[in-house]
Amino acid sequence: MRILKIGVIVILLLNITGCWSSKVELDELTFVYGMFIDEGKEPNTVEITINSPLPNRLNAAGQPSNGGGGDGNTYSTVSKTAETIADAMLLIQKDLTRQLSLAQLKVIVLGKTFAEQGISELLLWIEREPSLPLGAFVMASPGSAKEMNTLTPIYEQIPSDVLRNFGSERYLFSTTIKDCLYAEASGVGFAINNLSFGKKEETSKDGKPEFWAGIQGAMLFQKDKMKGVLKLKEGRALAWAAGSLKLAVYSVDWDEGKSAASVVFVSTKSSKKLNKTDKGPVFTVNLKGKASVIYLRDPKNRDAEELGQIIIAKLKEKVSDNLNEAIRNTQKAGADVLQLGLLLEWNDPKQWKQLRERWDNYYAQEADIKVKTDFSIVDFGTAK
Amino acid sequence: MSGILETIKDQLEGCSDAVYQSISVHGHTCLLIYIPSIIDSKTLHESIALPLKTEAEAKLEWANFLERLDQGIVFPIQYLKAFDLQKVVDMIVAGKVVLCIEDLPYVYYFEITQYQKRSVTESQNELVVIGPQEAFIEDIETNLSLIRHKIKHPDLKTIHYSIGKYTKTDVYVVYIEGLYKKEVLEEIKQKLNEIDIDGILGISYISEYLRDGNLTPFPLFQYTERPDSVAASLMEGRIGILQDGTPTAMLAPTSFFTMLQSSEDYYQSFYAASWIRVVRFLFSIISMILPSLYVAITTFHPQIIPPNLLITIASARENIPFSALTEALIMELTFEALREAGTRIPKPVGQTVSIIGGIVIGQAAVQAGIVSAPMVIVVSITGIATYIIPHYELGLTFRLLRFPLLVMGGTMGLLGVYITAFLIYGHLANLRPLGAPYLQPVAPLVLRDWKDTLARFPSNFMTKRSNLYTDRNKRRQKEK
Amino acid sequence: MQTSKWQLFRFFIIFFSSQTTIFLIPTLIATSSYQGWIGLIVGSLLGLILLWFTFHVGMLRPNQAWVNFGKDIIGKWPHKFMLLMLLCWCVYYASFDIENFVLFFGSNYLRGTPPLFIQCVIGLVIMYTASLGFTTIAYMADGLFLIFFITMIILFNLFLPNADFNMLPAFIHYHDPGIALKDSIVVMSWFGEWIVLLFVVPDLKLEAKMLKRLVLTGIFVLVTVLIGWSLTMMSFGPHLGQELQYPFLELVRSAKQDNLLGNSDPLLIGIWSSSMFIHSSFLIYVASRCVSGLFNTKARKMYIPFLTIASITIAFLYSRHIGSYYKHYNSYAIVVIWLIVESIPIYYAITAFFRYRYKTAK
Repeated sequence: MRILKIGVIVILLLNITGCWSSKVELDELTFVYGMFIDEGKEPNTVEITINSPLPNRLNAAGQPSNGGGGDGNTYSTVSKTAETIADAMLLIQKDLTRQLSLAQLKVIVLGKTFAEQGISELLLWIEREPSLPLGAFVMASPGSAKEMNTLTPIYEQIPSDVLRNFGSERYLFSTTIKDCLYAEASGVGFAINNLSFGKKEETSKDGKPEFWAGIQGAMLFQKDKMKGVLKLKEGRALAWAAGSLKLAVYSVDWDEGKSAASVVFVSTKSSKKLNKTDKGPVFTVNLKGKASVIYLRDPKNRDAEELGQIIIAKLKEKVSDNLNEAIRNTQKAGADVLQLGLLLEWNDPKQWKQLRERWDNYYAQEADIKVKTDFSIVDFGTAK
Repeated sequence: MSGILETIKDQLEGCSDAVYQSISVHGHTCLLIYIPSIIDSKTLHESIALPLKTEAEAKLEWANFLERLDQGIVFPIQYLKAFDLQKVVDMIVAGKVVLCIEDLPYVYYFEITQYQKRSVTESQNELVVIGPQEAFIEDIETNLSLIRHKIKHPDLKTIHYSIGKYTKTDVYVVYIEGLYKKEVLEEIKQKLNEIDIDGILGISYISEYLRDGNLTPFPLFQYTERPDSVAASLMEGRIGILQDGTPTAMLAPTSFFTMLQSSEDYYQSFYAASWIRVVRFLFSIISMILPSLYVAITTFHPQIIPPNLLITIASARENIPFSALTEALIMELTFEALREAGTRIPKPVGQTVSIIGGIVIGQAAVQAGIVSAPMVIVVSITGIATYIIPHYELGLTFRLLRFPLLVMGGTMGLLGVYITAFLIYGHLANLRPLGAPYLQPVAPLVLRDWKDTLARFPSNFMTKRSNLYTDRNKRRQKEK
Repeated sequence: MQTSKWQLFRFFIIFFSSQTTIFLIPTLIATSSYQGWIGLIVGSLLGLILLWFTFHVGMLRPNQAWVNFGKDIIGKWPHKFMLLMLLCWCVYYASFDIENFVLFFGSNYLRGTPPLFIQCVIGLVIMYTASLGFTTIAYMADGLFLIFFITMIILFNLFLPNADFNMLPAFIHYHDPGIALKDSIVVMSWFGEWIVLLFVVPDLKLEAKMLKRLVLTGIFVLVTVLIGWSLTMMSFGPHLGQELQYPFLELVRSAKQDNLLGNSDPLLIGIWSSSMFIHSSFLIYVASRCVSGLFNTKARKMYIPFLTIASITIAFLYSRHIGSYYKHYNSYAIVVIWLIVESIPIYYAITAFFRYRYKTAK
């Protein structure tokens, strides 16, 4: 009996050596580290650009080696246009000698026009693709996503690494695909980093201009459509309220500019609450922070306690203003970035049932959102 | 007597090393028959020939001599009567001295066997840093003396068997009364009685009988060459089998985790011992599945690998002409050949071969682009990990099982590895040599025995014996 | 068989967790969103009722297998009919197991591999494990328990940072009795597979104290599934959660990039798949005992290959018509069938009750 079983196993095994499409050697794969999606030149098309490292141009330590031809770049970029995302990926695959693998995707960059028309197709495609990690970051580019690809990586090997670090360092938002899917399915909005792109005049290699990228603000989405942009100041406040900001630096002054202080918030937390009142739900966003003073000019030499109170009062004013401005802008744009709709759904089902259909409208026109702050100073640095 | 002599001479015809020494006592012939190379000549001269000579010179009666012989006061050493002629011949070739007396229908024999043997040396295969170093040798009397040196209690029983038609090897079954499991001893005794074979030369012959037709690659009995291991196992309730001519003792029954223990664990502090045990266990698992895991992950599931490591491995694999599975198989087979050659190689050239192995295979193969550097690392770690297993035969099994796992991992990815590992696990859980579940205390889970499995608790915690080997007298030491 | 007090506890935890943790949660999220926990708790408590009946039927003759003494209670032919029904249920359930696994593993990691191949290989493993007998299967579950436990703890720690605890009030605010009732019935069918308890005899004798430990088993599995469900809800929300086919996988994958465990989902799935093998092989073992009870033979091992091939065939047919597979799997009819089979001990208990009342009356 056992011999029969072993015989069957052996026969089965003999039939399977080497002919499954999932068995691909490592050096026959191209790992896509970054995807850049734009609207195509013709209407109803998308243009996809992928960015992947070339292991044969990197030796074992990941440094560029002398082998390989081409222009000495350690990464490759391929761009194709088609009607659907799936078709575009297929066209890209046809141009490559190795099989594409999305398993190590780190960042997806959306072009502005593409974001405006709605990213639902992208989200649906991502949902169904099993190999895509949902932890990849999503960002937006001010113009076309493709040109983000041309930035020069200095510490990193490929441009996608640079962009990924913008997400993982939590400078502003660190939205991942999962957050986008979550927001879209739940009927609320989200915000992603809006990158900036420019030429670096100071250094140029062989007369060729070098490009750099940064973050210039946030792009707001409601469900799957882009609704607006925020500038950096408001974006930062909003990121704080959304809980994704790591460090924030604020400067305040008083005494008509004669005294000034700058603080860095070492701990930035936020919480959201819902109060049911007769007039409808009232949302309160509470920002908590612990500040460390990094710059202080005080000709009047007040003592620490008084200074602390002044600084906190001024900070409160400034930050609340920023956040209020940001929230007004999101309301104007109609993007429920702080996901207050979900808060209503969780805490007040009856009210939510009434408002659910017109939530976008309600948020834009009637939602009552208050801002509270709760700051404290942790230390004054190493000077008295 | 002439009838007896005829028979004996007939049987021993052609054995020119048999000596027939005739002494005339009181007018009658006494004949000493023996083979000088296997007896203790000194005792022969002092305790047998000398009294006979003295007797011959004394003026006494023959009948008186026979009577005193009967009473056992003629010779200073013990001598017994033998009536069965066939047995007498067997005794002569087994190293006993036979005394034929004229007109007597029986013979007397003296047990002064002395074989050539080496002295007790250090253990070669089971090394410890701290602790007793002596090891068994081929002579069973010495081995028994080593054990009796450790256990000085009348409950240490030794049952004798003589197995093999031509070899008539002495086999002793050793156990401590009151600790062992009765069913186990009964089964061993029954199996030993059933053995009907021409000769046994190594103790593995006996183990094949005790296996009862079980075709598992895993060792079902533990072999050891250290008397302290045997003594400790006997005190756990296990049963030891010693065979003359083999410097290894066999312990039954055994479990998988017992074979991953080394006696050194008990001679060092329990912190160090526990840590080393964890490392040992981890690496024994690694020795079996690391190559297959590596091949499966790099071929089928590259998404598990962190991105920077992925680039390193991918760039190392550029330009390698073989698939990962083929590469792994080539390296593993080469290392197996190297290992086997290393065992057989004569000492003078041993050094050269190890250098060739290291440089040629490791370095040059990578530089020539035949195998990739990460693969060499994986295979070397696996090779080292194999030798961390204290029990040699278990290490051999792991080496063997690595190959099916590798093939399955290379053809079906992680699914293949899981399936094969699961099948091996099921097979192990099903083994119950002599009634003891092989994977206790993991499967079945007996939490009390975990004090001595992955960690070694201090001895004042280990107050009770495990029920794997004993079902009575559980107490090892007094509980506080 | 070497037994310890908690052995049955550990075995049944592995047995129950294999299917419920991965496949019950998406179904529950889809049907009852925020109030799934109500359905879970009520359903598992109802499952405990089935346990009580099963245990008492088994205790009628603690030393004899139910397969043998069942006919003393309700008659030879009804008993054979029950055995047949149980047999078919085991084979069908095993085929569901196999097909679930093939879809799960195949669509995620082994794309391009024909489902038949995976089914055959898994079938071989199940065949081998089922032929080892209950004692060995129980030993294997014992050993796996520790790894399972540690993996669960690691997984929950992995999922915690992603979870949005602000969702907790929602669980309390939503309670619709209609949905809760329907879901409880569904959950009860998942948690009520206690009929297989009758097959641990003769390897293990049933004792009265075991009931307490088996109840603990049910509660333990309930807690595990509850935590898994709540973490899935808090990470994905009901709307996204019901769109995802395998939320557990996505949970592991959506951990932030730098975490080594974030991409190690195949390794964690391996540990789960071993519990799935134990589940299926025990079902086939039960089926083989039923067959030998039906035909009154002692040769149990011979039937196992045939039963496994039957399961593989059903799984293969489903894999060719995936649409009907999903339809059947999520249909209410399956729940009803499951409940009918799981209530078999109730018929016996009631009959025994009446019969013995008559006997004592006589």
